[in-house]
Amino acid sequence: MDTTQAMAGHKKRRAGKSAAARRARRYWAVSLAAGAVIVLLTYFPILFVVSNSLKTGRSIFTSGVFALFTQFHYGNYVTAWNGVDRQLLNTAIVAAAAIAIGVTAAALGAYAFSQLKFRGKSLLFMAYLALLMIPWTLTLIPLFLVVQRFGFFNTWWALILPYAAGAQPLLMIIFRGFFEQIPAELLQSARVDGCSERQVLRRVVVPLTRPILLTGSVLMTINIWGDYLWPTIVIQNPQRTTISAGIAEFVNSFGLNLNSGGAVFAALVVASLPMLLLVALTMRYFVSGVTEGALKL
Amino acid sequence: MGDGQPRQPAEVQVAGTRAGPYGPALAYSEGVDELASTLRRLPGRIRSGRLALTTLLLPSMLLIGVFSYYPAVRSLIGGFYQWNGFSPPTYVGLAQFNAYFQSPTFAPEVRNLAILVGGTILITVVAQFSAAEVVSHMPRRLGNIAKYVLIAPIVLPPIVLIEVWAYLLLPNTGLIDRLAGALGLAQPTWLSSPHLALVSILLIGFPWISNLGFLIFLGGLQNLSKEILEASRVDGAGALRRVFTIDAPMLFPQFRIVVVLSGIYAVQNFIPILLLTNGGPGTATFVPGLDMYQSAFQNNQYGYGMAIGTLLFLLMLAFTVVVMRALRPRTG
Repeated sequence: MDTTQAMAGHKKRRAGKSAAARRARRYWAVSLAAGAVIVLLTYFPILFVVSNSLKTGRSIFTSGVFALFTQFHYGNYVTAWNGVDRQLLNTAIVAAAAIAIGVTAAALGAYAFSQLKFRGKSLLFMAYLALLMIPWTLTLIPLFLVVQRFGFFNTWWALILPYAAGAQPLLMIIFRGFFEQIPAELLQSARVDGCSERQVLRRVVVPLTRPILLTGSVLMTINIWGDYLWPTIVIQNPQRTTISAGIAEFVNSFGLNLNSGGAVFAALVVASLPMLLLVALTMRYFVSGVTEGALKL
Repeated sequence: MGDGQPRQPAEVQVAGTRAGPYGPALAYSEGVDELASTLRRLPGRIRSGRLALTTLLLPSMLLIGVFSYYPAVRSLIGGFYQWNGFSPPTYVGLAQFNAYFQSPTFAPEVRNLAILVGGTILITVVAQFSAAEVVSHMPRRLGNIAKYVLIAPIVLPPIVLIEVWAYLLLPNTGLIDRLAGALGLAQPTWLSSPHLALVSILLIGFPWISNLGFLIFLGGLQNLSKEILEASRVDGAGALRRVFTIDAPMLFPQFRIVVVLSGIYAVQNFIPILLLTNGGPGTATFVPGLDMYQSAFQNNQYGYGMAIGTLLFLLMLAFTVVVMRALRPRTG
């Protein structure tokens, strides 16, 4: 090997590297500053809500614009909790039931689509992809009529079943993609060992696919937690509704009564905190699930 | 992987596929009663060989059949029938579509929708692409943290965001007006001003980063080929030039998805309007989605509502097709 050539190349690379490194450092500095600004802008409303949730109603309007965390009036949280505790519990029950039904149904289907051979498979799967093109505004009114016809109006079934159904296309797509990675030989050897299809599912497939089942459950929880419109349409009893509708009700109940303004903000925190905790615990699953679902469109 | 499964009988078939390729859609379109009687007959039809496959597919298929496909088909038909929810529906042809086109709110609805959709797409693309650029230039570990920190607020219930902005936009006492006052600027009445109400609706969610598009752009930027970036660096291309000559063109597929997703979202998202202005002042923030909602759930004009729903569906379908075609990646 020609040493001079190698040395020249080395030198050149080093020079290029240091220039690149200098530029990279400059990019870093700029990107760090810009990143700090956008994080601050994104989180300012949240800080503002938390700060106001600890103020008495009057001082929310009289204290200065940037007077964050100047008062600590924890009583607001008691008021807020008493106002929406019932709805929080309702949401947890509805979400748990909808997940139990929706995730189970989608997992069974995804297993069939990914591991079994049958006629019309790809066409049937198209039925799920096609659903991605059907907007909820199209189905909103007839869905209400279906719910009424079944006698579900004002019951939790009116929430549980449509939520479970609405999640099917996304769940089916992300589950199938994951289930396809299970080697067929593994399932085959389980069958040879005398497992029935049900045992194969329970003892082999479910343990292997737990992460994606968890991802699906998290996505469903976030959707159900955040849905405002549907519960206001099908649930009349404010004691039976879910948290987003409950929050709106709670906020409206104060109207222009400024003295209780702090409790309104506390209620917003109470409604948000469980979701932030859930996502903090399952962030990796959540991000991968969300992007995968979107990119499959 | 298909060959290794001799134990899977090839003739296994689902009980519901007979109606054709879109079995559920066709089978369930005939109505809930029809569906119920089909269900009663179903167990007799299932032969033992099909049992496993049927039990696997049936729960999910039933769910989407009853709660997705049936309502969708019903909605497409319902627009042609006048129905108040009590007396039997009467077939009126295109009359309800015509009535909608000629209603006094149609023109403002279209105008507002166009502004909201255009504004939302612009805001979303610019904010989320810029944020993704910033994060992709950070040192790797910090960038990873920044990604999670910036996306986390996506899980906040939308109602929380709406209520917060309702407060931020309060005239005089709201945060924005007090900031403006402190800076000696005008303090508009935002949501109750006919000219600013629509802008206020668009403002909700500023800085609009914590959403899917941010993750989509960031994923695209992080997957850009290192060689191309290296080449541009050697060529001495600055950061800004790189953004416009390399990043943006290479991320064409991502732009396409984000434009479609945010456009569809904007067409449907009448909930902030429902809660904050109810379409007002006057018709300043009235949109087709809200018209649909009010027609059905406040005025009992279910047929008319479904007609508007059908039009919105067609609009979104056309929008998706046009964007997918127009923003096809250019090769060469």
